[in-house]
Amino acid sequence: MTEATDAAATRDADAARGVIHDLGYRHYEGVRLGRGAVFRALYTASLRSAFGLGRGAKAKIIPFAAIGIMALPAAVAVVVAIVAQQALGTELEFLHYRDYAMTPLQWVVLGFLAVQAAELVCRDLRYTVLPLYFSRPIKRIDYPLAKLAAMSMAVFIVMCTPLLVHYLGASFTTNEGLDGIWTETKAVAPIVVSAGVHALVLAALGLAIASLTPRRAFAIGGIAGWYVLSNAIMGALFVALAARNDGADPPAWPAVLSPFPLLNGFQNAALGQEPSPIDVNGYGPLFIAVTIAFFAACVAVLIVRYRRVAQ
Amino acid sequence: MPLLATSALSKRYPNGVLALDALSVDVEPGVIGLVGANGAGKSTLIKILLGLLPPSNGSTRVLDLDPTHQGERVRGLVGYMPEHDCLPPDVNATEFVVHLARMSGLPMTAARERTAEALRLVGLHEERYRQIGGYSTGMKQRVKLAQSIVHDPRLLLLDEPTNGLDPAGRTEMLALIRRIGTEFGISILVSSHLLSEIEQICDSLIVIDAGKLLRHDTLAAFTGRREVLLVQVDEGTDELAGHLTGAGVRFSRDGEGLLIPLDGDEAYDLIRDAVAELGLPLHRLEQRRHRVEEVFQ
Repeated sequence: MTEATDAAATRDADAARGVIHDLGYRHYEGVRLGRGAVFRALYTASLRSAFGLGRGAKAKIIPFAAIGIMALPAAVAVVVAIVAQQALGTELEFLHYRDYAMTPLQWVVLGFLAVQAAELVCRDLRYTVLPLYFSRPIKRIDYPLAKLAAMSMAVFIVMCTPLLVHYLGASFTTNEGLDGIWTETKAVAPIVVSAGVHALVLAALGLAIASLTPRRAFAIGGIAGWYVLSNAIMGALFVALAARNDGADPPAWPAVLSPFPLLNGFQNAALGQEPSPIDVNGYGPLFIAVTIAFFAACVAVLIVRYRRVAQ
Repeated sequence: MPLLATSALSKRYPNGVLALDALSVDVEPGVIGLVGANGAGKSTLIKILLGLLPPSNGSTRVLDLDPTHQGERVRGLVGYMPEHDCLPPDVNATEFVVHLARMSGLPMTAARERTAEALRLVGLHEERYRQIGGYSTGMKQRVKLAQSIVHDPRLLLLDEPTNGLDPAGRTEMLALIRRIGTEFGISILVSSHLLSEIEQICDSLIVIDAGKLLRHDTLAAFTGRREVLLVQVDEGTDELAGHLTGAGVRFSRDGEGLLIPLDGDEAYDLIRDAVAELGLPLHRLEQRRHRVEEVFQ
């Protein structure tokens, strides 16, 4: 009631002073956030759209199917471990944390990457929305970097899903109390780091390819094509080198040509994860160097692409 | 402080095309028309003012800032409506404008409030919750306009805002722009290749051709005397003309009628007296504005 009378009093006072209240347009007097906040807003919006949040049900199918499929083997591993422990009284671990980045789950990660990288950058290119971003208080480079940060985080979340399920399952069923949890933590930590490296490199590759075309189908095909082609070249080189070595194990270096074997080799070389399908023996520094160089090259393509893109 | 100023501004694209050629202009706040044929350099000028293109030569000030080096600050104070389509079809207008308001640095709550406000002002009501893909061209232009004013800019740069609209849509869009410029107190630089169209809503005009400044002046100065009086009589036009010549009035013929400069109320008295004296049947007495196009003929 006091508010109402106050408002009436103010109105009367204004009327007495001849103040005209124009309700047609009010100027904005509030805060205007800086470039950093705008970057974070673009990152958050892109991360949400990578999982179809705030969109229709159709947009959620692929991201949540990917998370579900990734979690499935880990859930089975946990159940098997619990059953083995209770029925047989033994600890049985048939999947290790490092196995979740292998085929066939690799294909799930690849599928998620291809579809969502296209979703994140092709729409704005196709419908020429970019001028509306570039005419706002950000720098040109902010757009690709915010998209890269969002795509990396999205891939990281998908790759961490089975790790989390496995870790929680193992921690709750351990016989060794806190020591058991500490053992699990030590086992999962390097794989989480490795998932982060996977996420950065794969997101950079996916966005670099997707940003070259406004057509979503071409982007998805391009990313899948890169995977298939690089694997084929790698395989052919292995065969040729094995033939030259008279059937002995060929050297590991052709694996740097294909993204997943490269990252697997990086995990092996930099994080000491054995055994590994890519046994880097002697080529460790090469895998680390190529991983860094490949990431830098993809980011460079992405940045140059957005510097040149029509406004 | 002028709204914007350019000094010997030139832009040569890497392919050799000279889009702007030593353009110097000082612009005061208001609604300013930027007129030129397609390819005259209008869009290039707008992009330089936004700090999206670096000039090859010369300098620019927008709201007393240098867009080349203070681009982000300029873009925080300026709203831009591009010429071409720039709307994704699979989101609704509210979501899209809220997102762009956030890209202009507004916090979430403010972005939502300002979006509702901007969409209301451009005349989008219930439609704002429908996907943009189903909108008419006129509604899409309104969404483009709404996203340019959502952050309450001090200057609006509108690139061919009436493109693709039917005559009724053009009239509405022009009225809306005029309203933003006068009632909302936001200065507007609006480009068009149709002089007759934007002269209705502008305080001043910048005319460019092949990147060169042809003329920059207030609309009143463009049209010389702003107002003219059209007189039509059913018969005896020549008699009236003779009489006016006798009275020392300068006039011109316009089809069936005579155009008399309107300096004050005397012109009305003069014509009333002349028509009464000659006993002519007066058909029409109408105040008219010179059209800018007549100036260029």
